[in-house]
Amino acid sequence: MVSAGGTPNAQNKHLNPPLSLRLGQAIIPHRIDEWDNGMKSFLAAITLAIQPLQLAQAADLSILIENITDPGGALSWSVFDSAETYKNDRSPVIEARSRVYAATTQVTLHDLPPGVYAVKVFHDANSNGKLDRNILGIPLEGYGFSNNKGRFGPPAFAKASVPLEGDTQIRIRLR
Amino acid sequence: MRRRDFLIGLPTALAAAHALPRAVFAELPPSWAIGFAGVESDLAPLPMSVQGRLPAPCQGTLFRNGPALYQRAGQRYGHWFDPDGMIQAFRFAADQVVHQGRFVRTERLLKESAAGRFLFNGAGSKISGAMPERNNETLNVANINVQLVGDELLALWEAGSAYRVDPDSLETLGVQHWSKELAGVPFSAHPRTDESGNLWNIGSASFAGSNPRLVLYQISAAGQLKKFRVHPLDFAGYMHDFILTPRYMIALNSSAISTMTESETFVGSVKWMPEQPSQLLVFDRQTLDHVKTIEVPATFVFHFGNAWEDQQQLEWTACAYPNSNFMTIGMARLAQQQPGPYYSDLTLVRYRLDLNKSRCQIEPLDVDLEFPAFDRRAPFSPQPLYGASGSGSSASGLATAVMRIDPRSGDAQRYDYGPDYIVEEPQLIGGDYLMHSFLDHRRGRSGVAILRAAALADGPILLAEMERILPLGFHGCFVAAA
Repeated sequence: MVSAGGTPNAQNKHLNPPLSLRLGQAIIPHRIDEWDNGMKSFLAAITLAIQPLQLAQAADLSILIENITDPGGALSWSVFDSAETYKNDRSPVIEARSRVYAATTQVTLHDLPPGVYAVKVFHDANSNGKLDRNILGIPLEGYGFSNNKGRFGPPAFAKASVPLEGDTQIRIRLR
Repeated sequence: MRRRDFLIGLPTALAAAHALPRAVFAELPPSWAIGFAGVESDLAPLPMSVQGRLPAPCQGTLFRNGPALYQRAGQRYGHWFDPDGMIQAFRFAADQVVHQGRFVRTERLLKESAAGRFLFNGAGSKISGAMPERNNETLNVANINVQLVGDELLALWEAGSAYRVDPDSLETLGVQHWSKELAGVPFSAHPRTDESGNLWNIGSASFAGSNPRLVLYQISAAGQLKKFRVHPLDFAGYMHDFILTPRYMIALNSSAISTMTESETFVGSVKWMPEQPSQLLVFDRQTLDHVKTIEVPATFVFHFGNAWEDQQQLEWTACAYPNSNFMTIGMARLAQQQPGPYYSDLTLVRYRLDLNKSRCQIEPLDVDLEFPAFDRRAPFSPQPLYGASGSGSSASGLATAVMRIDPRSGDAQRYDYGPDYIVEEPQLIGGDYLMHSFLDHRRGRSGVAILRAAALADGPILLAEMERILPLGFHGCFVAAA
């Protein structure tokens, strides 16, 4: 079992301060729990951690990723706390990868400062480190956004973002 | 943000309300509505009853594609563009004609078949509980055309990849991949062949919102990608077909413009913008370089006839509609088996383009001809054009006749089957015979007719019919027996 913040990741020493966090591109080993969801599939429960500065107000954001249709590879996560960073795909507060073991995966981001967050996730099914696109820039691998908005392009931050005041659970359905 | 969404959302909401009328027929739906009932499973080989003698050049197979699966789990598509594509094969041998139909096994069909319900919106229908799609390919129903390329059939859509189909078994062989970077890139439904058998095509990514683009392709006769080009568009006009000349590819960026939004279907997002001139986009075949853009009055065209060059003038024919109402309203009403009007009042027009002077004359030929067919052995000769006719005056808004016209002299011949028939796209076989499928909706029969091309007015010389009713389809090809 990996406890919150106990991930043996060389990048973790750089986790402070919280708003400039980058977990980098390393694949982070996490605990895998077997769940019975009625479909004999596994639920990979993954815990990412942020070292908190404001413990009193910090909250957890749990994300259930559904509909991972291709086997293997990794999920690539980016969490943003502003419309500008989200739009430019720059300086996410969290950037991480997690292995894909099943059609459903749960990730908990611990001790986030209160705020408004938007999540982008894609399934790097062939593990080449990027979201494959064609010549028109159209994604060819699975992806999703918080609130499951957006069609033929990512939703605006206002549509993708979720307020985090206390512990919160969201679902993202990969498309 | 919210206010902007509202401003964007309002016109599309109105368009949607307009496109999905509540009107119903006062009594029973008219008999032609059976052409939009759809089928739900593959159709096993069935011998047809035949009257007349089969001319030797007509031994072979008429392949057709069209929307066929209209409903699952109590939900029904509301636009003719949407049902899953089914390949129909009519195999003509000396002693019998056999029909077979098989759905193209698209990624979408397999997913929805496994789920037992529709999962995604169509190009023109919203599905309740629709899941977000990964990309345009998720929506691919491969339902517009089927053409022989090399020794395989391509089941063609227009907003995504073609699917490969075996001509003998009609089994789906997979997605046609031209190259890695072209995965999922639109490959339109009307590839054209030049004098040496090369295949040319466009792909319209007009759904790409603020960044619409046109892709140009050259494919070898054997089916290998030779070159392609991506061209940015000034606006996202609907483009279904294009014009191929000895030296140029010409696309018509129509004034039916898509403003894809999150909440609307592709068709629902298309708005007719008469104040926006349409554009002839001229590309050099050798380089695929953009040569010129020539503005023409706002128009809407699905299909073009063949083109020829006369001195410095490029000439071709087009089936022109006054606006996009047939696509946005008429095709929805037909699929919903609802009363018209269907807005299928098209006119065949002749384009004469002086490329040096960037001047284009457009002359109406005063006939309604859709689904144009010509002798593909001479793609760049001025020649008679064949097609289906009568849609502007029929109760269903669909063709009841076949016709032939010389676009230079205006000489025309026509055979009208009358109001009980709907005539589908004809194929010209060896220059001598015209073959087309039809629906006899009063008697409840689908069939294929063959006429002598030089004597259309005499009517069919062969009729093959069956009590199996096929959904009305779009396009296909005739492949002569080896």
